[in-house]
Amino acid sequence: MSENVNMTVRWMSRREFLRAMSVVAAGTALAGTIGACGTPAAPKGTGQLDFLGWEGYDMLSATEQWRKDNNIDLKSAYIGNSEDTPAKVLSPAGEGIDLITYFYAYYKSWGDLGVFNTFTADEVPNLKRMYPYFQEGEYWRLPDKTYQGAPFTWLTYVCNYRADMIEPPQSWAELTDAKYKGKLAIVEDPGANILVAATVLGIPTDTMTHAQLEEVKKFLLALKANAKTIAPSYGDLSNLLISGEVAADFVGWAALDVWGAQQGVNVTSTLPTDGVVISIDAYAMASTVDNRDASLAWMNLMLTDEVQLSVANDLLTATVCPDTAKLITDPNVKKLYDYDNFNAFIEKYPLHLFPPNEATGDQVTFGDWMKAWEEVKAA
Amino acid sequence: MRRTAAGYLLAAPLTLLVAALLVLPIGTFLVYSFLTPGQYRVGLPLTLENYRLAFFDPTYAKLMLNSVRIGLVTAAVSTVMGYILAYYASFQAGKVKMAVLALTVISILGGYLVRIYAWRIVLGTEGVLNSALGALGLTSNPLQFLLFSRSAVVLALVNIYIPFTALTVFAALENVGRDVIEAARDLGAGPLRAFARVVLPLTGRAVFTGFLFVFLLTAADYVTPQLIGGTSGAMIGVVVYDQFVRLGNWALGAALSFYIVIVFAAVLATSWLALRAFGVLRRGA
Repeated sequence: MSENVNMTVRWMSRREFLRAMSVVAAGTALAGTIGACGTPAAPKGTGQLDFLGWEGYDMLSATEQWRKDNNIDLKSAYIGNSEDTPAKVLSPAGEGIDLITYFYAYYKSWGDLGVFNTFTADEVPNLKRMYPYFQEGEYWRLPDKTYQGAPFTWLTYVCNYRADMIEPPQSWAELTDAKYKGKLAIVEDPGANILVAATVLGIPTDTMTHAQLEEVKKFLLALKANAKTIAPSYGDLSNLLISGEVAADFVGWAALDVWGAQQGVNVTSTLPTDGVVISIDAYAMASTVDNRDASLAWMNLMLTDEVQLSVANDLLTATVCPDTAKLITDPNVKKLYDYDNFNAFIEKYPLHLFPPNEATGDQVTFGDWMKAWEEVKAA
Repeated sequence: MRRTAAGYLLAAPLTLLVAALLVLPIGTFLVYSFLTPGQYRVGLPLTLENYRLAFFDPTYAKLMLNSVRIGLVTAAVSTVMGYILAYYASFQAGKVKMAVLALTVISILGGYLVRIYAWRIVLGTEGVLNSALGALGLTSNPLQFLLFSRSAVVLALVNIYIPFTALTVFAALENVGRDVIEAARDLGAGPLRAFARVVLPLTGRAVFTGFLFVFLLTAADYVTPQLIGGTSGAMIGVVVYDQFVRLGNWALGAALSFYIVIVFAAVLATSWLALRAFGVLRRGA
C-alpha cells in the first residue's frame, strides 16, 4: 500500500523561516513535556490495511467508526488454522500483509521464521492498560523490551457438555470412560488437543520425548474410541452439541455455551482441572507490513475499553485489560472468566509451549505432533 | 505449409494458457518433490526421501486405502444409478424426458455444503429418518449408525454425483441408433442380451468417463468425510493440506500429491481393464 505523497516546493522568506522555527521549537518543547508525563499520543494511520487472521478478529463492527474517521480501507483475509499465517506471510503472495494474529505458543517458531515486525511500547500506548502479565510476557515482549505482539484476548479450553443429557465430566481423563461411548466429539485442533492431553498426563509439552508422545497418542486414541466424530471446526462442534448428536467435547470453548443458549439448548461448560490450558491471542505486524502507522493505530485501538468490551461481549473471549473487566455488565459474559482472581489463576496454570521445529536428542518436533495427530485420525 | 503455420498460430494462445495453468504449476510441484524440505522452504540437495515417506509410511497407506475405498464405491454406485436414470430418460420417459433432465440439472444447482448438511438433518439422531422410524414404531431408540459412518459418506456423495454420471451417459445413449437395437432384437436377442451386447458397449466410453470423473472427485475429497464420516472420515487429501499449510513441508506435500496421482491412475487403469474384461468397453475404446 504505497501512499502517493504530492510535494510542492515553496520558498520562504527569512522572517517566515524564523516564525516557522519558533513554532517547531514550541511544538518540540510541548511534545517533550507530554513525553515526560509518560502519555504518548495515540498512533494514527490511514490508507489500506491488509489483515490476515481469524474471522471475527477483524472487528468489523467495533472498528466501523474508527475506519470511517481515519479513512482506513480494511482488507480482510481469513485463516482456516494458525499455520495458514506463516504459510502466507512467507510466500510470495504474502507481500503487503500488514496485520496478523497469533496464538502465544508460536511466538518463538514464528519469530525465528521472520514472521513478525517489532514495535516499541511507546508506539502502542494502550499496552499499559493490560494486566502486567500481558505487558511483560516473553511471548509478546522481547528481551530488548520491544514487542512482537499485542495480546488482546485470552480463553481457557473447557469441556462443553449437554447438561440435560449427562452429568458434568469431572476431568478430561474421565472422557475416556466407556460411559461416554458415542457421546463425545473431538475438535480438529491438533495443537490444542495435544497440549491438553499432555497436560492431563503431566508431560512437559516443549521438551516432550518420543516415548511421551506415544503416551499422548494412546490417550487421544482412547478418546477417539468414545468419539462419534472429529468436528472440523468449533462452529461445527457447537452444531453437534446443539443438535444433541454428542453430549460432550474435547476440547471446547465457553462461547459454545452462549451459542447453545441462543438456540434454547442447555450447553454448559466445565473446566477440568487435570488439564487447564490457556490460549492467548495477539495482534502483530507481519514482516511484510507496508502500512506501519495504521497497523500500530489498530493495535492501540484494540486495547481501548470500547473494543475490549466488544471482545468480551461479541467474541465471548476474555479481555486483557483489568479496567475493561470492571465494565462488563452481562452476567452470562462475566461468569465465563474469573477476572477477579486473574493473577492467582495465571500463576496456578502456567502457559504451555509447543515443541521446537528442529529437535535435539530424543525431543519431538512440532512436525512429530502433527504426524501423531494424523496417525490418531488414520487409526 | 502456410496452413500448418496458421494452425500453429491459432493453437498458440491455448497452448500457452495450458502451459501456464497446468504444466508450470505441476512442473514446479515435481521439482519441489525432489528437493530437501525446510520449514516453508525447499533447497538442495536433490533427494528421494520425500517419495520414500509418501509411498511407504503406513499412516499414508491407511488414509489412501480409505480414500480409494470410498472413491471406488461412490463411483460404482453413482455410475450404476446414473445409468438407470439416463436409460429411463432416453428410452422410457417419452414426453417427460425434458422434465427428468431439468430435474437432474436443477439438483446440481444446490450448494455442495448445503446438501451435506441436509444429509445431516436427514440422518441425524433426531433427524427426519430416525423421527419417522420412531413415529412408525419401527425403532425404540434412534439408529446411531446412520450418520457419521462410511455409508453416510457414500450416500451423500452418490446423491451429489449421480447427475454428473447420468448426464454423461444420457448424451451417449441419445447417440445409440434405435435401429441397431431393433436389428439385434430382430436377430433373436432378448431385451437383456440386446442391452448387454449392443447398448452397453456403445455407451462404454461414457460409463468410464462418468466413473473416472466421480472417482477422482470423491477419492480426493476430504470435506464430506470430515463432516459426516465420523471418526473413520480421514482421507489422503487432508495430509497434503497438512504438509503444505500446517507444517510448511512443501517437498513432502508435493511428493504426496504425486503419490496420489500415481495411485489414482493405477486404480483407474485397473478399472478400465475390468470394464474391458466385462465387455463394457470395446477394444480400441
